[in-house]
Order: sequence, then structure tokens, then C-alpha cells
Amino acid sequence: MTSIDNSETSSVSSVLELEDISCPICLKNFANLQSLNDHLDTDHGFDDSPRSESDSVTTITSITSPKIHLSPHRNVRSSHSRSNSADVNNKKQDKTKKLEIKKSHWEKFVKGKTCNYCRRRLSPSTGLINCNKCGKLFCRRHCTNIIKLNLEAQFDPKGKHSRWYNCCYDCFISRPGYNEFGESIDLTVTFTKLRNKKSEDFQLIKLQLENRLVGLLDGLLALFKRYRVNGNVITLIKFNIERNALEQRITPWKSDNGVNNCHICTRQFNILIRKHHCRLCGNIICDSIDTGCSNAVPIITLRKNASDLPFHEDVKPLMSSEIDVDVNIRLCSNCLKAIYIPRKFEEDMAMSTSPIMIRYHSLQNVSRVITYLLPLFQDLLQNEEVEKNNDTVPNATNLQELTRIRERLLKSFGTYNVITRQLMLLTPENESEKRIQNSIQIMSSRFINGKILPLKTLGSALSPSSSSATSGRSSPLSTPTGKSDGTTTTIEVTRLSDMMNGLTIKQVKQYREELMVLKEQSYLIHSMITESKKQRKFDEIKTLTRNLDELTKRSQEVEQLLGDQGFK
Amino acid sequence: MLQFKLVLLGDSSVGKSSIVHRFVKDTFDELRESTIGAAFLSQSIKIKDPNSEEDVVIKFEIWDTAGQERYKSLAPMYYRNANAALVVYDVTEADSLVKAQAWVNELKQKVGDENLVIHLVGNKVDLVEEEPSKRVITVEEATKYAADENLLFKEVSAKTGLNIKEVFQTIGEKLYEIKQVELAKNPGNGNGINGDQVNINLPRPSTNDSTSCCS
Repeated sequence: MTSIDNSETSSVSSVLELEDISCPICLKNFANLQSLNDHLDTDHGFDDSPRSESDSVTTITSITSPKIHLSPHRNVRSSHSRSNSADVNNKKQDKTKKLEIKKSHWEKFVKGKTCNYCRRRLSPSTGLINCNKCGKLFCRRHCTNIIKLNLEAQFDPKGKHSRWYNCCYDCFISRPGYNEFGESIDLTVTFTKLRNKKSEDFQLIKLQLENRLVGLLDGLLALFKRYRVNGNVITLIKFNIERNALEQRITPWKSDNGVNNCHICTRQFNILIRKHHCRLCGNIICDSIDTGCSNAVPIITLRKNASDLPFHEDVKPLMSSEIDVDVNIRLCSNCLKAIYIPRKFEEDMAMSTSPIMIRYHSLQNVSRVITYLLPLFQDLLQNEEVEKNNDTVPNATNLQELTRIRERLLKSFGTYNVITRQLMLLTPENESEKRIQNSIQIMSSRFINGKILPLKTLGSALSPSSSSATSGRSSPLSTPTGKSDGTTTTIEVTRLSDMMNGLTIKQVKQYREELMVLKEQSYLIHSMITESKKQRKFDEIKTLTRNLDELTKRSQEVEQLLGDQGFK
Repeated sequence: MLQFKLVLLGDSSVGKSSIVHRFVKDTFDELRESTIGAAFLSQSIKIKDPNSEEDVVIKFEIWDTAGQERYKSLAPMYYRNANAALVVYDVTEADSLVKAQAWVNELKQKVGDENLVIHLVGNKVDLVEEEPSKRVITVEEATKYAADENLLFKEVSAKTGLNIKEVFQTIGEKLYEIKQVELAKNPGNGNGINGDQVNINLPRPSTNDSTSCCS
């Protein structure tokens, strides 16, 4: 069976069928089982019938027929059915299905044509398929991808009339949204929902605790107010009873029965480790100082650190009078964390940052400027070099831009330097600040070292002599900036070379390279020596050891030359 | 036995390592990886004393340097104190001869030893035999240059082994000859041309022999 013969037969038989049948492989729709079968044979290579001599002859003769170019069967069918105008129903169906493209879209088959992908000569045995999208001819094996096309044969995954069609690999990978890794689905929304659900739970618990806290504090303050005047024992007892009742009314306390371990640290209670109730969550916890499971916190502190909560009672009486009752409330560490840690965090964030951090932020800004400007400058410089080599008239705006960027770059480097130095001069307030300071120092020196080597390639622009030449050339355009620019450059260059141990950037790079090679070679010789030892070639070892000594000597020399610029 | 230090120089991928491996191990690897740093190999040959017709064993300590630009800084360490240098170029690569000439110049300037034997070698003649159109550097051109600079010259093929043995043989003979002249000049100094080679007359236990029990 060949594709041509099949399409012919299918086009005849398809007149009768209306039901939609789709290919299980490429999901292409077919009018009947016969055409699906043919499609499977031709496009997916399920054809197993022996090919006879006469078959191939018929195909070659029929190759010139225009039908061959309309490789999708429905096209063949439609041309057929158009002539058969009696069947209106079928024609309607075809209209919704066929690609409305000109015949020129399909690459015509001429003898000797090759597959556009593998360059194999096309013949009926290799299969002749037009890619539905680009229309080029391919062999059977290289037109197996599927793509959703609209009636104009354009990729349109959501179009009303879009359907799956065979296409070549190039069309498949060049469609918008294709990536090497397959489909990607954005799950951010789902995750946000999940997370919100979690944090909502947390928020609810926090709200409940906060409400309890407000009730507790207000109630207690009210009690204090009521019992403040009378300081005798009976009122004290009364107060304590009422206080207890209030606490238990606001928070249902967990029953002591059956609870043998602290809710937080799970230690067993005994005579020394007493049971306590958290006044906010009601859980039973210990009051161990080591674990800090619970603490009796003064009411004033609680009020002060949660001043955003809607308290009604005034705290003043508590502060002024000498009350001999317990003004503390026992809270477990969990509740304290839930209510006070977020507040503390916000407060810390709102606090003005330390001078070290302020400088660090400006350092970050400057480094961002440098990382942005450097490649820009390199590109421009390269363009300029090319122009110079081509002896074309330098572009005035380009030169101006180059000067401007160079100025900014040098200024940024200068600022970076200054800020780093200021930062180092600041005295840290505590240990952690000291650590931060050290880390910043390491980071900034790394940054400068990393950025200065690329600057080496800018060589000509940074060296004072040629920079004055550049500004001299651009001077007709920007005389004032040109001059000032030359002086800043010189200053910067001296400052830079200060940091480089008196070597030029190029030298540093060369020496580093040499050092690297020397280390590599030393390693190699080492392994050669071990190898020779194994093979008992002792006279070789002597030569190799001598060489190793030489290498070590040389690398020491280079290391000394490099000084601070060497590898650590 | 006489020991001589020999160094191979030349552009990358002209076949320095292939030449050495053909000489030392008599093997050829089509897909040899480029050398890192410098490799060390040694090989002994026998030459005939022109006067006494006796066999003399000469041992080459061969430093096969990497041709890549990156390793250029290593080369001086290896050509310093060398007795012979094998400067290799590729007959199908015009640039390689330019590089070889640069090496010859560097050797003449930096080593400053008139007794240094420099042997120019055009490698990969097997390619030219297959397809004469591949040849870029003619024999005449190279011979003339070698004669001008007073170098030994031969075209070789590491792949087929053509002239490889001969090249080392010639170097060995030349070195021996120089050595004899040197000895005749200062008979007191028996320690060789640069004081670098050691003339060992004592019979040594054959430590190289894997069947030997005492090693």
C-alpha cells in the first residue's frame, strides 16, 4: 500500500462517513475508519503489507498528479468531493476542516527532491509528506510532529477552527511557547492559595490570642482599680478569687488530670517542676528557667510591647500606686512568640538602620551601577575599536556616550572605594556588627578584584595617555568634560595601581596565569615521580625532582611578585 | 652511558607528542589529546663511535612541551640547559613554520650555547603523500631556511614512522661528536658539555629490569 493509492481509496470511501474518528497518536480527526487506517499506515509507519513491484510503478506514474502535494488526506478528499457536488453534507464538513491555503503553499514533488530535514531522496518508500505548516516536503520519518493550526495554517492553539496537523520538526520547535523541557505549568496561584490557607489558620489563632490578651489585661486593670483603695487581707483574698475567675473565664484552662508532661518541653512534672497554666492558651507548662517554657511577664511590659491592640483600661494606676499583689501574667513561650515576635520584628524594621548598614546599602547601589555600566562600556569600546580599525569617521554621539560612561564608571569605582574605607573606619557596636563589617570587607574586595580584571581589557581607555587622546579627539564636541575627565582618570589610575602592588593589570593577569600553569605542572611532575617510583626508574626520578625544585622556585618568585594579588 | 637533555618545541598540534611516542614507544594515536604542561619521557639509542667502531649508548631525557600559548611561560625552564632541541612544524600548516622560526630565534637568543643542537622537523608528510595538494611548505623552502640558520633538517611522519629514528640518530651522533671535541679540548673535565650529563662507567644493578629481585 502506498500513500497515493490509499488517499485515492479513502477519498472515495469517505463520502459515506460522517462520524468523527481521531488518530490515537496525533489526535488528528478522520472521517472514517478507512482513512484512519490509511493514516496510521502512511504517517505512523504501521504499513506491513509487502510492497509489490507494480505498486511502486503506479506511484511513480501518479507522482505528477497534483494530488500528491495535498498530502493530508482530507485535502485530497475535498478536491474530490468538490467535484462531487451532489453530496452537500460532506462538503459542509470539509469546509470546517480543510486548510484554506493556496496551492503554492505546498512544495511540489519533482523527481529527485530530498527530504528537507534528512536530505534523503524522496520516493514513495520513504514517504512524501508536506509539513502542514510550512508546506515543505519531508520523508515519513521527519514529519511526525503534531501542531495545532488554524485554517490559514498558522499556529493557533486556541483558535475556533484549530486542529491538530502533522508538521516537521522545525515548525514544531519554532512555534511560540516551545521549550526544551516540555510543558510548564504555573503553579504559583495554587501554592499561594495553599500558603494563604496555612497562614490564615495561623492568623486566626493569633487573633484569638490577642483578643484574650486584651480581655485579660483590661479585666485585671479594672480589678486593680476596684481593689486599689482597700489594702486589707479580705479584699486581697477577694481580689485573688476574682482574678482567678476572670482568667479562667477568658481562657478555658486545661484540666490538670492526666497531664504529666510539660506541653512544650515534654519534661515530666514533679515536686520541683510545677504545673502552670498559660493564661492565654490554657495549656499546662512548666516554669523552668532553662527551657523558658513559661514566664511571668509584668502587665506593663505586655501593654507597652503590644500598644497597637485596642486596650480600654488605663495603665496609669498600676504604675503610680504601690500594689503588693502580683502584677505579672504567666504566658507560655508559644503565645509570647505568636503575639510579640512579629511586633518586635516590625519594630526592628522600622528602627533606623545602623551606620554600617546604611553604608552597606549605598555600597550595594554603587556596585549595581558598576555591574550595569561595565559591559555597556566594553561594548561601546569594542565598537569604537572596530571603527578605528576600519578608518571610518568616528561617530560623534558614540564618542560622547563613551566618554560619559567612562566618567560615570570611574566615579562609581571611586565612590565604591571611599564608601568601603568609611565602612572600615566605623567602630562596630557589638560582635555581630563586627562580623558584618568583616564580611562586607571581604565581599567588597572580591568585587573590586573581580571587576578590575575586566577593566584590564579596557586598558587603552583607562591608561592616562590614551584617555587624554580619546578626550582630545572628542574635545571638539565636549571640550569642558573632556579636560576634567582626563584628570579624574589619572587620579583613578594611580589609586587603582596602588591596590595592584605596583603591577599593571596586564602583568597581574600574566603572572597569575603563569602561576596557575606552574602549579599545574608541579602537580603533573609529582604524579610522574610517583609513577616512576612504581616502575623503579630511579634515574628518571632524579631528573624529575630537579625539575620540581625549579618549578617550586619559580612559583615562589611569581608569588612574591604578585604579593596581595596572588591566590590565597 | 651518556645522557642528553632534549626538548621538543613547536606550535600546537604539529605532532610533537606523536613524534616522541613514535620514537619511545613506537606507537601512534590518531586522537591524541593535547599535552598539558610538559611531559617527560626517556629513551636510549645506540650509535657507533666513528673512530673505534664501538657501540655507544646514548640516553635522551625528552621534555615534550605543550604547544598551546597558555604554557609558553613553561618552555624556558625546559630548553634551559638542553643539549638538543627538536623544533617541529606541520608541512600542511603555513603558520606552524613561522612559529617554528620564532622558536629557533628564541633558542638562539636565550640559550646562548653554540653547542646546542637544533633540529628542524617537518611533520605529517604522510598527509602530503596521500594528497600532494595539501602541502603548504615545500622541502626546498624549509631546507634553505635550515641551511641559513645552520640547523639539521628532515621531513618526518609520526604516523608512518618515516625518518623518526633517523632524526634522533642524527642528533645522537652530532651530540656525541660535540662531546668528543669538548673532551679533547678540556680533557680534565669529564663531566660533559654543560656539566649536565653524567658519564657513568660503573656497572649498575639493572633496576629497570622487572625480573630483577633486588630493586
